[in-house]
This record gives sequence, structure tokens and C-alpha cells, in this order.
Amino acid sequence: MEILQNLALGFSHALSFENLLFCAIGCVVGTVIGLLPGLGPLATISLLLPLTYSIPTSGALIMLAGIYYGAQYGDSVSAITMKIPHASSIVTCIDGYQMTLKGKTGLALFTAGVSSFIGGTVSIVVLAWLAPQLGRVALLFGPADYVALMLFGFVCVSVITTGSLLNGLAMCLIGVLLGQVGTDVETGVPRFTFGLHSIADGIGLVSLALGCFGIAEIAKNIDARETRTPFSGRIDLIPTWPEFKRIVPSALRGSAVGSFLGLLPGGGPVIAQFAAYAVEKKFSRYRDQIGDGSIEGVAGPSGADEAAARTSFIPLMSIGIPENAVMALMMSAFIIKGIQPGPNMIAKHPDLFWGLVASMWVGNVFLLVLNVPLVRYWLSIFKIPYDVLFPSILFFCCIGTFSINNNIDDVYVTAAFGLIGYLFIKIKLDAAPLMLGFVLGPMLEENFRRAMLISRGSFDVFVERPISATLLSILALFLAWQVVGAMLRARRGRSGERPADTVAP
Amino acid sequence: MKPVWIALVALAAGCASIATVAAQSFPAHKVTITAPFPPGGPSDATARVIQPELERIFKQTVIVENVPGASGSVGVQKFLDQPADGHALLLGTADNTVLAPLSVASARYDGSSVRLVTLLNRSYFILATRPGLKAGSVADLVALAKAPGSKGLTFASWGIGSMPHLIGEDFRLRTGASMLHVPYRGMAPMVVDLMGETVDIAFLPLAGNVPELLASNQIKALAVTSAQRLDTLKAVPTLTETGTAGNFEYSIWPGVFVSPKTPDAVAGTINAAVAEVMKGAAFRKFVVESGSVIAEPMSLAEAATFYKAEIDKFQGIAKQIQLQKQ
Repeated sequence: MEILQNLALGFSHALSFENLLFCAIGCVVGTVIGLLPGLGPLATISLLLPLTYSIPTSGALIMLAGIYYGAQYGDSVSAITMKIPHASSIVTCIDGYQMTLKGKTGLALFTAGVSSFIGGTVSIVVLAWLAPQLGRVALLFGPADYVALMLFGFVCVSVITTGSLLNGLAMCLIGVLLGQVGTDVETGVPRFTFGLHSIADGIGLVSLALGCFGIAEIAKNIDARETRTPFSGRIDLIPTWPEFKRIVPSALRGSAVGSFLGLLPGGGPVIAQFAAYAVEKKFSRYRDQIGDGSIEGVAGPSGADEAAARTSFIPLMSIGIPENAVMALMMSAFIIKGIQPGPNMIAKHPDLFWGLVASMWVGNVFLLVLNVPLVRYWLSIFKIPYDVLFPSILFFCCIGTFSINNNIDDVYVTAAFGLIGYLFIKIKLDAAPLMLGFVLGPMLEENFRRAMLISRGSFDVFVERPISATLLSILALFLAWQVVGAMLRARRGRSGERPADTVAP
Repeated sequence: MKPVWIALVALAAGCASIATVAAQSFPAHKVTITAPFPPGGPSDATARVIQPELERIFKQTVIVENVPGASGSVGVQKFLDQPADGHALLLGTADNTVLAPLSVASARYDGSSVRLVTLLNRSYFILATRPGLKAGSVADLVALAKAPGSKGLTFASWGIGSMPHLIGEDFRLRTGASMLHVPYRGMAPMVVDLMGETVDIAFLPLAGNVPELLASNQIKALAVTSAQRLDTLKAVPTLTETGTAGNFEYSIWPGVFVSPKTPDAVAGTINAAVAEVMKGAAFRKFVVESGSVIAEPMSLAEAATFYKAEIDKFQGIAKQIQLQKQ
């Protein structure tokens, strides 16, 4: 019952007039800025961090959290309507944009909103019940275990590929190669940087995503000389009951995946989205439709992203370790307010911790209430004619990339990837597997080499550690099952019963 | 002869008066603090805390610009490209100004390309071990690493050529312990792997969440790299006192830097302003809460001597372990 008492304490703080106001301001401001193409949560928080300096501690943190969720939601709007994703909607934009092309923008936005709500709610339950214990989950994973986990991630390639599997694999490997750019952790040698300072730490995920999706998409639209607006103008926001029934199970599956992956340092929400998409592709009843605009393809990743975003607060608040750039910013906000996130934070500042947890849920409700009626106004931004809209989108993309490192060179890198992304579209190659390779490749390499370094070159470490041994055996079984399945299908196909309709992953 | 003398004196007086005018009119416009690390983390928090205070003293807008990348060398380089009139300040550590150019080829400067105005606060390092490592003292640890048949110990750092890397190497060289370097990207993942028993030891700055991790036994401290025992960690001996590695003192300190070409008077004004910030209650509270130690304000001459010693120390180790510019 302690939990309920704690939550009651939290809600009593979160629902105070002042904090409610900060939460609302955070959500609205976050949504508006996140809505601008090219500006995602990271940029939004760093731009707005100074706003919170003069606000009382709990209000400031609640407002920042609100900005974070708001920006994530806003981001999904630009991803779904225009295929301009930031890190938090790289996967959502695949099916979301397809839905827009089919005139189902409203449904896609509603799905994203409701799924985020479900993801948020699930992860808050996790956060409230298990936060102190879950902080240690990250500690159970050594380098070898990450290697196994990343290999698992590569299986997703087959899932997110639309069209030829060979193309998908090729793109994934290009992504891995792009991920090699930058300074090698183990030796300090710069790789493929051509002596350029700006890519000494590697190519930014945001530059790559904005370039390959956003800018390339704009270029394609100009190229097509169509007078099509990004969405049909008419927005049917409220889904029918059967449609609504399709959202819930996918969002719940996504939330479970996201809640877990959010606990692990590294890619967090981004990897969670890919994993949730893969789960949908394997287990959803409508798996055949995923990839060309299905509700499940939006609901799963949205739920996972939101859940992972919230559970990624756990390592920060329970052991004081920020696991991604957004959490590092949140941490700096805590520190400036004189609160050192660490093992004693929950005990030392219960009002703050539980207030924040409760306000996360309050923020979720806000976003839902706010966005259902307001979404048509948000979208009216996109009714601006193309010749005004496109330059302004590019302008915001520039601001978005620049604001991350305050470095003009990043803008050039983004532009270069815009060109490359446009070429990919022209030769009908899909950029999603490239993203996956880009995210997972460097983590796989870094952890593999670290595992080998610590084991002094012995491969035994992968079977000695229970987590990696388990994951690798599941992976082996899965691959065996797929190969056998494919062979059986091929034989059936050859005997003329019916042609093999899908290529096995 | 005479006219020349007069001219020279006049010139000198003129220069002096220009310098005074410059000092009096400093700051003439907004002051930019370049912070060569991403937002978040202890050094960035320091920048954010002194920013409003400096704004109050200078009566000018002060902005903090985070320019991360390549061990901070991107930010330092950007700072060096700005005019040397004191309106561009750098808030960095020796990691950025001294160590980065030793290992990053694209960093075209060295430790002496910047001038330290004063340190802000300092954090000593602890020799931390994973919770399960069976070594109760530094002597045990060295014995463990030298034991016949042992694979030696692993030590973590936040990157090739970073401060914990060089300190670890110095410890290895001085004790003769067998130690394998395991580099990470940043401090957070390295602490996670130390807590999770993946790596054996690391030199961690006593700041941020480290004091609490020690208090809750998630990591252990065998020694501290200060000259005297610390009030906050009375039970932990100094590394020097353990007699295993000679005189072993290190600390990490965010400091305020200007370009060496900055007029002395302007540097003096900045030194005085920062000293005033450091005396303020807000700053002291922040330093204590973030677990590090308040540095006493330094004169410009003291800062120069101190900084020179740091440069020599780290360049010496880098040479010994043949750290290459990559």
C-alpha cells in the first residue's frame, strides 16, 4: 500500500494549481515546437531549458518533462503528415506517412496519440512499482549481452524492409558502414572522417534521419510536380469502433517492449520502436498490411517510443546515470536545481520523484485532451502553399540540426544526406533498414570489441554469461525455424500447389 | 636620442592608457562562454550556474554555448577562432585543453594555446573498484594484479587519452601492476560497467553521483588522489599515503580560460569577477551539493603556475606511454 500512498503524495503535488499549470505550459510549448519540422525533443528541450531556471524546482522539472512528451507528440505529427521524423518517430513515420498518402491522416494521428497514452500509462505503472529495483537491470547487461541483443535487432531488418530482402540487407549494411564514421573508441583512430572535424564523433542520427527522410521526401514532391498537399485536408480524427479495437493490443505490445528496452543504456526509444515494429510484423493479426499504412504499424512503435522514453528516467533517477542525450539534459536540469540524481534521490526527495511520476500521467491526459480537438489547428500549418511551406521546412530542418551541437557543419552533413536520400528514393531503395543498421551497427561493434578485450580474446564469454547465452540460443532457434519454414514453402511452391507468397526473413 | 625616448615613453603611456580604457570598458558587449561538452553533466552545470552571476557582475548578457565533439577540441578550436578581447571565454577542463590535443590529430593547438584565468572547483579522483572485487586496499589490488597466473586487472576510462586513462596508466607504470585499458564513450557507461562488475577498477572523479554510489556500496573506493584525506571520506586513505605509487596527486577542475593574447587588465577583470562569483553563496551551495571541493580563488600568476604544472604532468605521462596523435 506504500505505493498508493506514494502515488497519492505524487498526485497531490502534480495536481496543485501551479504544477498543473507548468505541466500544461510544458505540453503545449513542447507540442508547438516539436511540431515544427526538424525540431525534435532534444532540440526543443535544449532551446527551452533556460525558461525553467527561474521556476521552483518541482515545477521546473514537471515543465521539462511536459516539454519532452509534448515535443515527442509534436514530432510524430510532422513525421506522419510529411515524413519528417526526428529520433522519436523514425519508425512511426513508415506506416504513418503511408496512411497519410491514403488520406487517413486523422486516423494515424489519433492512433499515435492514443498509443502514446497507452504506452505512457503502462510505463508509469512500471515506474511507480519497480523504479528502485529496475535501476539495476542496466547493470545486469555486460558487453557480451549487448552483442546478443544487437544481433537480435538485426533480425528486424527482414521485418522493416518493404520489397526485396536483398535491397533491405544492402541498405542495412550501408547503414552499418555509415555508423563506422567517426573516432574508434578502442584506439582513438578517426575512421572515414577525411580529416573533417565535424564528423570526428560520427554522423548524427538526426542529420541522417532528416536528410534521408525529410529532405529527400520534399525533393521528391517537388520533382513529382503534383499539386497534392501532404494530407487531404479533411481530417477524420475519431476512428470507428473496429479500428479502435485494432489500436489497443498493438499499443499494449509496444508498451511492454518499450518499457523494457527503455531501461537499457544506448539507443533506448529508437531501438524500442524498431523492436515493437518487428513484434507487430510477427504477431499482429493484420501483419500482412504492415508497411503500407496499417494502424498496427503506427500503434506499436508509438506506444513503445513513449514507454521507453519514460522508463529511461529510471536509470537516471535510481542510479544517477543518464542513458541518452535527452536524459543528460534532464540531468543537467536536476543538477542546476541542486538535486543530484543518484541512489538516494527517491528517498531524499520523495515529493519530487513521485510528483514527477504523477505529472507524467497528468501530462499524458493533457496531451490527449489537447490534441484531439486541436489537431486540426496544428495541421492548418501545413495548408500553407508548397512554395512557402517547403523553404520554411528546410529552414527549420537547418535550425534543428544546428541546435544540437551548435555547429554549422552539421547542416551541410544533413544537406548531403538529403541528396543521398533523394537518390535512394529515385532508385527505389528504402531508407528504414539503413537507419536500423546505423543505430545498431556501432553499438554491436563497440560492445563486441569490448567483450573480446575484457575476455582477452576468448569467445567463451558469449556462452558463459546467462543473458547472452539465452538470447543467442533463441536467435539460433528462430533462424533455424525461418530457414526450415522457407525451405518447406519453397518445396510446396515447386510442387505447384501454390506459389510462395512471401520471402522468409 | 631625446625625441626617441619621449616618443617611446609616450607610446608606452598610450598603450597603458589604451589598456586601461579597454579594461574599463570591458565588457563592451555580450560575453560568450564556450563549453566544449554537450549539455548535461557536471562541467556544463558549472557553466550554467556561473552564467547568471557573471551576467549580474558584468551587467552584460552572458551566454553559454555548448560546442561538443572530439574530446572537446571542436569547442576549444571554435573558442580560439574568436577575437582575443575577453568577450570570448572558455569553460573547460585539462581534458579539453591539454589532453585532447595529445591524442586528437585534428586539434591544432596545445595546452599553452589558452590561458587559465582561475579554477572554479576541483574534484579529486578515487581509485574505485567494482563491488565484488576482492581487494580491501591498494596493496591488495596491486598484489592481485601481479599474482602469478592472473590475467591482470581491467581499468575503465572515458576514452583514449582522457584523464582517467592517463591517470590509470601512470598508476600502472608506477606500481608495475598488470592492467588492461578499456575505453568507453563518456563517463556514464563506464560507471555502469564498473557497478555491473564488467570492469575491475577505474579512477573516478569524486563528483556527481559518485559519492552516493560509494555510500550505497555500489562501488568501492580504495584511495583518493588528494594531498590530504578528504573531510567527506575520512576513512579512505590518500594514494600517496598508501606508499604504493609514490606521490600521486590528481584532480579534475573546470576552469575559465581566455586567449593568451587577451590584455592583462581584461584578464584581471575577469579573474576578479569569477572570484566574486566563487565567493557567492549560490556557487558554494552548488559545489558542495555536486560533491566536489571549492577551489580557493587564484591570482592570475598562481593560475599560470598551476596550469603549467598540469600541462607538464600530463604531457610527461603521454610521452611515457607513447600516446599517439591519431
